[in-house]
Amino acid sequence: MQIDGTLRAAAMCIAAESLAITKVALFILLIACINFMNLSTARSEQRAKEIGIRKVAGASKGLLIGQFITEAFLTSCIAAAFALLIVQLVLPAFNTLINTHLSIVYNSIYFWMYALAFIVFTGLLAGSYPAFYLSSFRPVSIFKKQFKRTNATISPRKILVVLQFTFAVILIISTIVIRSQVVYTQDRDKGYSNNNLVQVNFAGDINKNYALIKQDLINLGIASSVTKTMTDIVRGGYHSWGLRWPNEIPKDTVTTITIYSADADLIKTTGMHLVEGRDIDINKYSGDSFSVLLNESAVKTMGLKNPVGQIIKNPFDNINWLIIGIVKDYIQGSPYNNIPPTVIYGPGAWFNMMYIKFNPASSTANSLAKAEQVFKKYNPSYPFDYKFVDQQYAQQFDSGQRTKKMAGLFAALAIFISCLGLFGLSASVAESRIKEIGVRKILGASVVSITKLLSFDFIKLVIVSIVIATPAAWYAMNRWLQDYAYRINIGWGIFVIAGLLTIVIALITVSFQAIKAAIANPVNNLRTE
Amino acid sequence: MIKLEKIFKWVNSGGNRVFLLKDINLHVEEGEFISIMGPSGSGKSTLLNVMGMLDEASEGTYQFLDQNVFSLKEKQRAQLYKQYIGFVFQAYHLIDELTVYENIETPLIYQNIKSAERQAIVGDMLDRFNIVGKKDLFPAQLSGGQQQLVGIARALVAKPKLLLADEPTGNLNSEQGEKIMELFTKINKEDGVTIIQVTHSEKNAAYGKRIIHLLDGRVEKK
Ligand SMILES: Nc1ncnc2c1ncn2[C@@H]1O[C@H](COP(=O)(O)OP(=O)(O)OP(=O)(O)O)[C@@H](O)[C@H]1O
Ligand SMILES: [Mg+2]
Repeated sequence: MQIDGTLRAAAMCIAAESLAITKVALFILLIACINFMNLSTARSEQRAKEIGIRKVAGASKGLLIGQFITEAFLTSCIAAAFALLIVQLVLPAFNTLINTHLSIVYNSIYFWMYALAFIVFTGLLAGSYPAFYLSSFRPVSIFKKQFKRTNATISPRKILVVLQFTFAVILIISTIVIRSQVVYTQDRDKGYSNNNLVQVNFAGDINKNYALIKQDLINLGIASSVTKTMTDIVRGGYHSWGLRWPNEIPKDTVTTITIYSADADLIKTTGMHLVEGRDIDINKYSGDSFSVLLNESAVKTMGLKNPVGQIIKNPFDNINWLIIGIVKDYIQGSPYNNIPPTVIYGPGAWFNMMYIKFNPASSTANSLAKAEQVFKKYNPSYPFDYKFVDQQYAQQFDSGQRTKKMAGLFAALAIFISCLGLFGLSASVAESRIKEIGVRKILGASVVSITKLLSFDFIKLVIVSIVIATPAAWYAMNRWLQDYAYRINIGWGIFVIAGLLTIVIALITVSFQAIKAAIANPVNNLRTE
Repeated sequence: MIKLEKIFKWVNSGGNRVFLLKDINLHVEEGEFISIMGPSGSGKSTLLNVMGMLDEASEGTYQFLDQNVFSLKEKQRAQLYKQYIGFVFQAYHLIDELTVYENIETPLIYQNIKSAERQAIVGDMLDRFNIVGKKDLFPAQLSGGQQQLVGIARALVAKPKLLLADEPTGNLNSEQGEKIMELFTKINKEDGVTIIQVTHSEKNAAYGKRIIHLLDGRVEKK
């Protein structure tokens, strides 16, 4: 049951993850389609004459639309072929990056059907706007030069660029938030010390020979301290809501409290911090079978004023537990969660595992080799099986790390594709304004002022995108963060960084074309007539 | 004002040196009105561009107002022509997206003149050229003659000492051309602006006080 449930949870998690990935991938596809729309309509202004002539020659609107959509389909097909090739090439790297084993299922009919559907969808999406835009050119207005300001405040092209960059900025902000959240949690004070700490589950004769094993480990200088516990201290113990404590609010039966037991040297071995009182030590105090340690959260949950010396009861076993010490909260379970109120019993019913803190004076490999000999001696029929606690702890960050890497990858892709479009667009704008630039230079414009003139229009759009993306990303990432009890506050600094980053990248992209146009010799560009 | 000495200009085409200007020696005094004539391809535009500092010569020296032009840095040269030279083109080269007013205003913006002052200067210019009524129109809404009028107004708005005009009447009919020539004469006389124009028309060339004939990149001796 338990395993089944865990598997199902993991499967659901993966399903949710791949759904999110699909959504983001669709957005990125949309960004690329926008590039196609914008660049083909921009290029079309140079093709306007051709279209005008075709129309005058009798081409119907439908025929022209067909022509443009066919062009988009062809592009989409070629792109699909390239995409397959690229996926094949980068899949191994991607698999190592996010630690999976994805592959292309060439022999699946569904794969090809999806692929085909995507080609058609992409072709239609990318091709329809240019098709209708271009075929609606009126021949007269193409031949006759229009006397209208071309840089209208709102044009479809500008809206599309804004849309592109809005997505890109949202992804950049998300990446920064995810990264900050993971780093923030990684930096969280664990409250204990897990390096050089090894967990060994009881198997065979370990339980029986625990005292001898402990003695050897310490006497041979392998371990600086050893303890045994009932449950895993990293994952947390069992939960109970039956404990009663002094001055408790009547019928508080909802609060669950984590409980496990230890025999002695728990604090010394795990490096937990004792806030008050003393550690459990059954060897020194025989009464410690009925002593407990509380963590700070437990003290808070129970609302105890002077906890040490007070009694808490468990109605099920009818034992009075004496509180002898308080430990600082340490992370149990997911580091993203709140620390549960925890009660650590003195040696009670049973133990399941032991923790060994290796002697820091010798190397880990050396300690392991020596420890193995000790375990071979007292538990000969079983292999020496152990886990490093710090590695177990680190595993809890696997999924966060993966999300972080994927988000970074997507954000980079989105901004790259958007800038590719911006690059093409700025080239075509510089091209179409080449005469004007020449004239302005002759009238005394500096390279800087021309670069500004050509870049600023685009940067304005990027700024609008940032303004739109900021609240959207804030909302989305706040919802994402709700899943984590231990989480960052999204400060405005993140938006400033994302905004500046985007502006700088966009500026580099457009100023390349702008500077190229600005330093060209005006004489060459005016010499046509 | 202008001293061109031993100016040669060539370009490399297919490993050969093609000469565009050969041994040009030309002195222009302030206040002169000069016409340059010559067959197509004889180097008239090239010479004008060299004088306008838009193009460099391959050899020789060019003194403009006692400054050695070829030894100046690009930026200083731009500063110099921006301040002292106005250009008029055969194809007008007005900026399509800007109104008449804005077209004329542009050089002043690049000279960092303040907005209030610009308004006064442009207003004055519109007045002088009788185009106040057209100030909010776009170039495409004007006739060729009117466009060239705007082009000249724009060239003069920053009060240059030298006006360089490359076939200013080339796209105009003779009546429109005559008007432009009369305007040039007036500017030359009343404002003391030095004018060098390229023209194909004998009649228009005659408005200049001196005519220079170019042939194959060389000044023809008469
Ligand atoms: N950068 C260049 N590279 C190669 N050839 C050039 C270049 N610039 C000008 N030429 C050539 O130099 C010659 C002179 O050109 P220029 O434009 O000065 O002639 P022009 O006298 O103004 O002629 P037109 O009356 O037709 O305007 C022409 O043959 C032209 O093709
Ligand atoms: Mg010429």
